[in-house]
Amino acid sequence: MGKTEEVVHNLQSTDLEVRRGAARYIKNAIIGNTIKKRQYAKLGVIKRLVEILASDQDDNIIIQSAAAIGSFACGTDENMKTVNESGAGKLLLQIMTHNNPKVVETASRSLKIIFFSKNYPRASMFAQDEGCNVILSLLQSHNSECVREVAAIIMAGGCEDLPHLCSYYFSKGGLPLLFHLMKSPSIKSQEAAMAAIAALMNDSQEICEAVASEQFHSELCYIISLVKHTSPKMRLYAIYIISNMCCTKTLPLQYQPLVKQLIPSIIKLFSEESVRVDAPRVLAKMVGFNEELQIIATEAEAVPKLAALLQASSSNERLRENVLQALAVIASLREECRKQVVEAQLLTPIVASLKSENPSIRAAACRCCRSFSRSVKHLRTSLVDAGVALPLFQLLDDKAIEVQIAASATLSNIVIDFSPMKRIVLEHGGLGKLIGLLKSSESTLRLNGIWGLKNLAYEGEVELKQAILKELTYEGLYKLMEDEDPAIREQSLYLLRNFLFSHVDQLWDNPQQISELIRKIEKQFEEQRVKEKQEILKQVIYVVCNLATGSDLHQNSIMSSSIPSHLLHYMQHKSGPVKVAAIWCAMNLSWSEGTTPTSSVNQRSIKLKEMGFSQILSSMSEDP
Amino acid sequence: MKSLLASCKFSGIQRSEKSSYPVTFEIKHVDTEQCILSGYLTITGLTKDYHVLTTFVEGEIIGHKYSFLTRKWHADEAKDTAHWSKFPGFAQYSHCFNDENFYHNYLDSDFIFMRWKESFLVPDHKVKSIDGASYDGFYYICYQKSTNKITGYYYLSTTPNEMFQSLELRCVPQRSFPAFEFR
Repeated sequence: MGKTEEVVHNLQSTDLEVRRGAARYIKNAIIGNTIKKRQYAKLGVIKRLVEILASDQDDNIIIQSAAAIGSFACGTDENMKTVNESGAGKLLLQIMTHNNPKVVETASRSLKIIFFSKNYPRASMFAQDEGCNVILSLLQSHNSECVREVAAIIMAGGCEDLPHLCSYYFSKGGLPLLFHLMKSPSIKSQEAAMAAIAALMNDSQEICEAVASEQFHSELCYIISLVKHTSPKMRLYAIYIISNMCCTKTLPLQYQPLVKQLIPSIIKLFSEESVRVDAPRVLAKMVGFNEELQIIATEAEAVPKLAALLQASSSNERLRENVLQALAVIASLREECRKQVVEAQLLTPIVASLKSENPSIRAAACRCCRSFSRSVKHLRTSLVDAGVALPLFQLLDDKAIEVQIAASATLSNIVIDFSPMKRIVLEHGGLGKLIGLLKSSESTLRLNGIWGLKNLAYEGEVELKQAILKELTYEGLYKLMEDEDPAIREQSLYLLRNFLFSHVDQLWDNPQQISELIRKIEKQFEEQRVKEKQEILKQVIYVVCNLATGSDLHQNSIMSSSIPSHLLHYMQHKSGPVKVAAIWCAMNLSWSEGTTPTSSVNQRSIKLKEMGFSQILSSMSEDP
Repeated sequence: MKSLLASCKFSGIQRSEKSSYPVTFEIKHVDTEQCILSGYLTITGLTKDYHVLTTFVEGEIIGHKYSFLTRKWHADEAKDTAHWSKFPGFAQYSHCFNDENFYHNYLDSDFIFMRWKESFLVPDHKVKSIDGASYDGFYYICYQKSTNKITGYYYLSTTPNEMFQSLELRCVPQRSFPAFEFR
């Protein structure tokens, strides 16, 4: 038996001394030695060491085993996987409550390595509240600075991946503990505390409001001052915290003027090695939905600096994802910003990232494309030049839902009439794909599907509209108009409105179809009388408006329904746009093409007059 | 914004000193928050290569985002004043339009002022130049809500004194309204 096999055999020994010796031997042998790690791993040593951690009582052997496991986790992907699946992480967390400081220190070091290793299933550590409770108690009462620091960064890491942990930690008093750690003399502890506070506050209205409250006003004041700290990490976390407060609209008034000045500070952090991976994500957070800040960012040269980071990110997926996210946000609202991104030659790498192996990168690249697709100009120029249509189209079938969502949203814009890519998408089965989205179990995808159909039908030729109706079917359309989701009802009414534009006679050409449509419209009006949703109401009225440009048959069908009485009611509505839409309906119903009205037109006009329409029209002195 | 909506069409004439050509303008998109508008401007019979020539127009709506003062495209304050003054609707603002805090409230006024800049050809945006036509300058535009008419004057820095190229468009009536929205 070789030495390796002998040692492994000894690990199983009932004699404590022998086991201890074997564990220590392995721990020393594998340090920095990939070959030895592989050899021992093959012989099932990792599993055995974990068993020892779980059952052995002796302090020394626990120390040796914990250290060895940490070492294995530093190695190959395969070893990391074995360690992750072995439950070592959870065990080590428990061991951190041990009364021997040396044991705790070793366990914490290995735990840190394991927790932050690639693909570690963080959810498993916090599956029950117990894991969180251990973290909280370590943060609260442990003597060792090092242990409190590890507890804080594990708290931070857990909250990043599992947002529900934030409210748990918060409800159990985690925030004051972190504020306390924030003032520790050790810079590492301060940074760990800030990381955890930032992660806790991420997207949390509740926690941001708490931090903004009177109770913590001096802590907040202190955090704000940290934007000028010498440590880049401290600056980053402080700015991240402020960004979250901006997003949740909880930043107290007196600090708001500061925000503009922070933009150049974040951009400077792009060149700090320790934080450059996360800095773009913080920028994205800060300027999201805020045009003014987006402009300030572009004036502070954010775009060329992001371009440089993107170039340097070929080996760092996290960085790439964050840069793409920042670009997507910067280009989301203003043409000036989009122009800069195009001029920095960024569209090519963005489109290339649509094919990344990493789903988060694909999703971020999609969001960039979506930002550009919100511009008529770019739909006709830069997106065409970058060849975005087909790669995006393929992402509709992506494994990751967030990619499908971003791709389908972008596609909804690409199928608009003035987009040259509309044709390519249709040729590749775009219509079928959009209709397929309507069957998804994910509500955002359904909404993107109907939105895309609405945009597709906009100013479309009759053949296209016929094709859509053939696949969707009239029943399908009517069903969507009664969907439980009001957003989908609204979009389907838009779609109907677009169908009726220019092509009433061709698409609803027989009396049964027409009377069915009238019934459906009447139903919509009835529902609106019970509970009004203004956006939906407006679309219903425009449906009537467009329908009323059809033949006499269509117009007379409207007249003999309850619709005119609804229109009369809405011509006196408090909302200007609703009134205007109703007036157009009345005008269309009494419209005469030539100078001599036909008898049908006359009949309709008389009836409208009888109902009181002309009285109301003349009483309106304001110009619609 | 009565007729300044996507899909609205205007038709009329572009007049220069010696000739006039039929012109149409089709609005493609209006963003009232960003104060921008885009559309296709089509002119017929201008050049021999393109009997029907369509350009993509980017419009700035004068208001809280864009001031009467152009500050680009080689148009200085004097040029701005000279061109805006050609619109009767501008008279009420001629004394204050370059004040620090003034901005034109187009929602409240009968007039909407704009600058229109042609950026590229439709359908092929890659064509860089055309024989016999240029779109290096821009138009000063006034739309009057009550008459539904658009008037415009073209300014090109290389022919700064030629104020003869003008645009007169009338809204093509529409009774039926499609809609799209960016997602």
